[in-house]
Amino acid sequence: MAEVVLRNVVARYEQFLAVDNVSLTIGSGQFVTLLGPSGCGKSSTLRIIAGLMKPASGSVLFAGRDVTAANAADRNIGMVFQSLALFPHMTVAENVAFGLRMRRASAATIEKQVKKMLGMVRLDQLADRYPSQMSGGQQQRVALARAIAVEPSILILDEPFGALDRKLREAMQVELHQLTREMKITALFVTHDQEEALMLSDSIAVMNKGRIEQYGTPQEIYSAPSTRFVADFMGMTNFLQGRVSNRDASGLDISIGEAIVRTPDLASVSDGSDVTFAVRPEKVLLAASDASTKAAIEGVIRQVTYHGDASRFVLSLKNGETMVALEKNDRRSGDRAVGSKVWAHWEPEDIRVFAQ
Amino acid sequence: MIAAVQRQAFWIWSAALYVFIMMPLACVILASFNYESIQSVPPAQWSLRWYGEALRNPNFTRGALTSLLVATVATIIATPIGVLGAFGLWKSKSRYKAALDAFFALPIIVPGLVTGISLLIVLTAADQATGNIKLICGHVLIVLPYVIRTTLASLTQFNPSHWEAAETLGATPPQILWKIVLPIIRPGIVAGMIFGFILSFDDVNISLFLVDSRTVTLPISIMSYLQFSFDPSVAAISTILIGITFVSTLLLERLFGLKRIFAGG
Repeated sequence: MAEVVLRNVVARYEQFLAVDNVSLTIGSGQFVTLLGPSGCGKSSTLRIIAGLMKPASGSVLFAGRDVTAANAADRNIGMVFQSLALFPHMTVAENVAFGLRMRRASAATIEKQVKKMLGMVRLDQLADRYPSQMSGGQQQRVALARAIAVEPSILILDEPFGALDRKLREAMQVELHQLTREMKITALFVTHDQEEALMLSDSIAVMNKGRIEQYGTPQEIYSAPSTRFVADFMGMTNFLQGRVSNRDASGLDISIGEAIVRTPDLASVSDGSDVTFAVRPEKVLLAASDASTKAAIEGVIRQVTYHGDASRFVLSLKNGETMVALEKNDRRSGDRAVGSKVWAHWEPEDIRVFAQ
Repeated sequence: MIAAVQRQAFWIWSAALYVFIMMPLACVILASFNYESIQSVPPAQWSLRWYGEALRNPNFTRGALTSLLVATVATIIATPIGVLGAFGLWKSKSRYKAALDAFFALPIIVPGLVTGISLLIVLTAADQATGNIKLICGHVLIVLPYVIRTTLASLTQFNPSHWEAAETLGATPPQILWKIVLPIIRPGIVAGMIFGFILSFDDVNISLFLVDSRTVTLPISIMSYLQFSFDPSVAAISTILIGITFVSTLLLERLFGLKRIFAGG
């Protein structure tokens, strides 16, 4: 396992700038996820690390060694493909052994390692099956075993769970999490699913338009998104306009219509400037209309949808903006019918402020 | 109302077409079971007599052996050439790729007559070739386009991730071709071989110019037999050929799916 570093990597497809000056360090034994919408450059970045694509400029280092010019075959990586790409004409054991055979390992070593890998993914009984005779989850584990069998410098996973149904997907996520931590594998994971990224990663790089918008721990990315894009992508879907009416050492006052909301977030905005702030639907609290305070915004319920444990409310705010609130059904109080008036508020630390 | 009429017209038209295509085959098969020495459908008296006659006719048996030998050797020679050609076309980024693809299909497009005459002129000029060698040269040209076609069709279906997966596991391009690509596309290659083999075995056009008195293929010997006699032994040998072709076509469908071959890539 090795530290993997990207330095100022740029990649283009014809005119399209796929990767725009990306620098990234994946610490040895770390599980790092590239997260972003399709077309954000995460797959190109992954292919550059794998050696399947050459960058236009910049460099790739494995354990301090520059491998920018090296082919995939010479990088000692393990990769799990979106389509899995199991070799259909080989048995499970032959698939897992393939990388070792290419490295000219001795027959005894190969046998021992294949046995160990199949034991690890609990497929010892199915070593002689062909991939087409296995379930989706089993095939997934074969692909994983094949990639890890060569003891790669880095394990690269390209949206491997995309085709699985929800339940299997969650089971595989738990398994991958456990496996990579136990074996202290350096891993790079690519996904567009933020829940998956949060659950699996030590660090997440959120990508947009070929750049890394934010690189941090799941907690940082989730609770303190540094850009509007990251906030939106991580589920902070309410964006409201306001103006900084007071700035002091402990935070900001933002006026939005008649309401003034307080936040300890000291974003780099000056007193009197227009700002956008974001708040998650599940952090929005609804109060009955008579509980008027300065820190709440008046609105009318436009739509109610039931989601089992919670209900989702679409509000029209007094200043004309729309807001979504997600409220647990067991802590509801007061009238929540369409057309009724409510006051939306939240805890000061639950909002993030962005300059305009 | 109009739709119903249209549907019926279409159905009748299709049925008529199938009858038109299948009728001669049915007639040949029926005629082969005749006892009399004249062709009649349906036979007045049923018998396997003419199968015996046909299999005892040395012209037919020697012809069948020649055809078998020529088709087998031609297929063995054409297959590696065709597979390598298909690999080349597959990996090629040349702007002449489409032109080359069409070029390799030329033996199918150019009338067999022309190919036969050209080969006759060339091989006579070379003057060394015996009947078998001449026939094999011609029949390699028959088999080659089919092997290229079906191999290329399989290659275009090949999942590029398989290549990349092998690459990330440390395989070199020759190793990937040999251990991954070739086994995966094998059904396509085999289909092309069977297809080419059948067409070589059946061929008259090209062979007509390349046979000599000592080496005659089965279709040619059937033709010359017909010039002097018109008994049901010809129907019997034809029925045997229909049977062999039918079985190989079924095999082909099993291995590869005929649709994929003709849809191409």
